[in-house]
Amino acid sequence: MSESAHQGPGHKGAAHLVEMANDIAAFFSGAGHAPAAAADGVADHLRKFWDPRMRRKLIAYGHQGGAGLSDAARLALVKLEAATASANAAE
Amino acid sequence: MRSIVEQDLGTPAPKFRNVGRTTTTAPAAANKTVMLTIDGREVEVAEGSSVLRAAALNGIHIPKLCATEQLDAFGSCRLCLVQIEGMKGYPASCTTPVAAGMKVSTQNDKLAALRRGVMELYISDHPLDCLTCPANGHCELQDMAGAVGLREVRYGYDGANHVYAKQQGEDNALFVGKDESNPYFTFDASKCIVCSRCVRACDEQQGTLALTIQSRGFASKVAASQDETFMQSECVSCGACVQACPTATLSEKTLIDKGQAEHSRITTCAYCGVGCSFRAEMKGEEVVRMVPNQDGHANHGHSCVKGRFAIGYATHSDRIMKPMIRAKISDPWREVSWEEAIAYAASEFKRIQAKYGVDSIGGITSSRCTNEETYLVQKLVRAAFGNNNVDTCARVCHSPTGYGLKQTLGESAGTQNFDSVMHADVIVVIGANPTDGHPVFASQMKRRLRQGARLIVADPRRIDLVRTPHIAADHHLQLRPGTNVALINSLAHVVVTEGLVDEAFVRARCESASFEQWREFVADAHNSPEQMEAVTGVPAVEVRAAARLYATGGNGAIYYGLGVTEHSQGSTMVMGIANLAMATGNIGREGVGVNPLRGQNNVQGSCDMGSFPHEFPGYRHVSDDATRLLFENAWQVTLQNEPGLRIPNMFEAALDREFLGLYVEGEDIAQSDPNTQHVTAALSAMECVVVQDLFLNETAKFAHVFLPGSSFLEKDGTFTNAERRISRVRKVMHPKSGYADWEITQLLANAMGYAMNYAHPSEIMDEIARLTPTFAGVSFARIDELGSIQWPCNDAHPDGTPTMHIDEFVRGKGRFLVTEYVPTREKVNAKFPLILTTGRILSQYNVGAQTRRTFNNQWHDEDRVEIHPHDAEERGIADGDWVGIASRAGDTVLRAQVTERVQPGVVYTTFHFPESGANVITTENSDWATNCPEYKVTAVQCTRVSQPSDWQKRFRAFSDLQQDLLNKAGADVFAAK
Ligand code: SF4
Ligand code: SF4
Ligand code: SF4
Ligand code: FES
Repeated sequence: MSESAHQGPGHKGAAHLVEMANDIAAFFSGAGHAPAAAADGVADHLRKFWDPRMRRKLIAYGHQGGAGLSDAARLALVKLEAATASANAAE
Repeated sequence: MRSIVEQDLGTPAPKFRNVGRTTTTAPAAANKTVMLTIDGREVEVAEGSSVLRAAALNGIHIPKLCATEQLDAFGSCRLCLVQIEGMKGYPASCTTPVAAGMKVSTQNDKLAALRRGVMELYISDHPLDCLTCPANGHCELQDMAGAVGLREVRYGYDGANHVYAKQQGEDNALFVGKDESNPYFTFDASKCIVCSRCVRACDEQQGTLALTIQSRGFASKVAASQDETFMQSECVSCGACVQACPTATLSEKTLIDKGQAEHSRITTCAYCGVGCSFRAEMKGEEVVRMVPNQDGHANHGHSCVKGRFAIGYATHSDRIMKPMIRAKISDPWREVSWEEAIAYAASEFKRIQAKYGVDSIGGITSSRCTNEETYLVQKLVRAAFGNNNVDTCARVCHSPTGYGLKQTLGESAGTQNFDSVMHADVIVVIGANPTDGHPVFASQMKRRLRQGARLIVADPRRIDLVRTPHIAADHHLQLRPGTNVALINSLAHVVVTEGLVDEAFVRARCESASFEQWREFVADAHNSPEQMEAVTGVPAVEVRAAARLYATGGNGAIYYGLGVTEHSQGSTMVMGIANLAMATGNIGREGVGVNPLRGQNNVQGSCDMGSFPHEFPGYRHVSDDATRLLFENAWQVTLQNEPGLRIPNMFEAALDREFLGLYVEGEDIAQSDPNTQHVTAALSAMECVVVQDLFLNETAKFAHVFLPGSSFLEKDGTFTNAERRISRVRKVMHPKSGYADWEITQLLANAMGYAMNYAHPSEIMDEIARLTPTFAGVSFARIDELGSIQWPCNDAHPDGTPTMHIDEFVRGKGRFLVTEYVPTREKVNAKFPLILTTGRILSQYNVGAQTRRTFNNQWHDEDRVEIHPHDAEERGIADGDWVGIASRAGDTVLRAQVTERVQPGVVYTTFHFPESGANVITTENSDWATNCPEYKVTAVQCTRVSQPSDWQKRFRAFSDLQQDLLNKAGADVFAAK
């Protein structure tokens, strides 16, 4: 039963990351915050607590259409990518 | 029997009374003293002391038997009588408080004659086999016979007595044989003097009320419950009665076996987050018995069955004493030298990093090991591995506490000390089961409840505290698992909408913008108890009443456990609790606060020591340049500024072949982490797993290098308990495998090419203090001086900080956060209609690696699944039947315990035995903020079955195979039988 929980290496990664990002977005969307307002909190959370590899994977997944990502999570990924790019440019 | 080194002052230090909000901040009366004269000497003692205590404090020893400092005075033996000028007769000094100007005589001919008469009566019904008695050398009765100069016993033993089994050839009806049912102590009634110290210890100190004095006069005797054996009775084997007994009647079996100890060292229990202080009473390098330290700041001389008795694991024959390696997990283990094992581990780690990158390895620190050891492992990972892939088992228990409290109050720790509960008027227990999980603190809490504090319990299950002798919860909010946030929001709704907010506190201490936003949010109708009732299952009237009681009943103190944190909204709930405490002004003084009950002995410490991948010691983020620079300079390396992988992320990365080497110190992730099959798949995918532990635990079955660790008895260091209290762990014997754990980490660091040269753990603590502001004033010398220290300890608080956030929150103003209830993804449906939740039991400890290797199994030798009679009947399940439990993650089989403790729709189990596979069923759902697993909510189905699950069969086969591979390493690797 559990073997089907991860169908081979890597497969499950994105799906699980999407769930995690959506959960974070759900918290920051509390009290009727619009996705745009929630996205800052989400992006900040991902930056502070996620290993860069996980962030990169999710950003890449976002580029492939990002099926299943909530609006706030999707917006957060855009912000995150922009911030990373400008940080890299500054270096 | 008391510790061999503690002096018994006869009665406890005077306690000041406190009732409610107004008096809690009044100065302790203990500051007032009284002058009196004892045997012609002027003495000065604290007001409220007994004459007995006043004398003892001044080196004057009045004979006594029924009195002990451990308990309130009782005044039954009449041995401690004295003469006091102006008072009639011979008052008992243990029950007579001192008064100014009192003139006391403790010795004269009349007193001597009276005392001798008392002793003669006692001895006339007591055996005279002192030479072969286990108490010999430390028996209070013998000492008192000597002190009063007893020279003859005129009554003889021919009459009625409790001493002999036969009387003139006939059975003696008064005689009771030894009760040896308890694995740790015996009860030999023939030696009992009916002083009732044991009975009072069980009542006052432990709060179990298992013992009584039956009958009256000469026939009276001590009995456990309704004249049962100790094991059949209510007794929880805390040992308080054994410690209180002045004779050999109640004696530890180890004392009977080994004889009196000759020296004693203070150390700290290595089981739970209460962090009880103990005296290890030693014979050379052998522990004779563990006696709770009367001066222990967390436990005040009390303990539970684990800390006092369950230490046999440290010398268990399963313990592995030699390093071992193997290339593949299907290979037999091979015993090697320490040099070879360390060199092999280091070369493998280097090989993996060369091939897969610097981020492809990591480490897991232990919440069982000392602060110094934990600090060293995270330093190894950050400095020697060169990445931030370090995490700790706190990830799977209290990480939401760290996150939630930091966000709201500004510090990742509980706000009070344990003693604070004695000032609480309303105690709220949420998702915690203190009588099982934190027994010594539970005893203190029960003492306060018996004094009249009110109790609110929020728990899906009817925990013992809900109804126990002399205690009943005012409200038991029996919510559905997974609806904590809905409940806390509706409690807050009542506070906000019924005008119960402490406006002055909020105005002075909290951020007004965040408060207003929060107030508006919780006031919304969707958060009302009436609307939330459909979600939580808790009647709205109960919620309203509980909220009013908490907000208006005086000092309100919240205690919570893993039932709060181990949810998909664990962090949200922690913030919700902090919001509620701030809104009602229940924070920043004694008797109130937000108190996480930490699981393992050093879970607070392991978090403090920088075990999380995103922060350095002292909870400072790795991206904070100033902090990173500080560590870079001190450690002479470049450090990464990005967070590393958390434990569950490590597993994912392993399956993606990006993370292939792991150093695990004293933690059993293969048993303790959720979705076992996912964890074991990840471990099997790794190329080098190094396990440092006492036993070949479940994780070690997937390891390539085994480094034998040391028990808490074998090393120096410190543990930090749930109250932020740093206490010393002291070495009482040499490491049985050759090295203490910190030394092993140091060897590994050096082999990796990063030099570490600590000669003693105190040097590690000095480094921690240099680099961590909240620890600036901490050193081994300072802890030795003060006994223990609660951090923050620095120039502003040189003696530590019992209560936090007094005038100001650590973050400045308290911050309210909006906590919207989001139902968990783990939903019941037709296929999985029940919710499984998990918990612990008193006698076993977590994964049970230690307690399963002690006699504690006699209380709990298998995990069972608790199911409501209604659900059981529907499925044709009877008590004791085998029940298959299936979830979306896996399935296992356990025996049923049909009970109304759980509500219909909910099943419950403990997870102390690996073959139970409780975590085969739990899923990978986790807290949104910290990835703390959602252990407390799993949708399952239960069915009656006749055989173990497939997983269990595979588990058995794999375990047998691994045991075989271990046996091939030869008998040498095990501890001597
Ligand atoms: S061991 Fe503890 S619970 Fe048992 S009888 Fe003694 S004091 Fe009571
Ligand atoms: S068992 Fe010990 S403590 Fe209890 S009444 Fe007898 S002598 Fe006193
Ligand atoms: S309460 Fe905890 S710390 Fe105290 S003795 Fe028991 S297990 Fe040890
Ligand atoms: S010691 Fe005071 S009456 Fe027993």
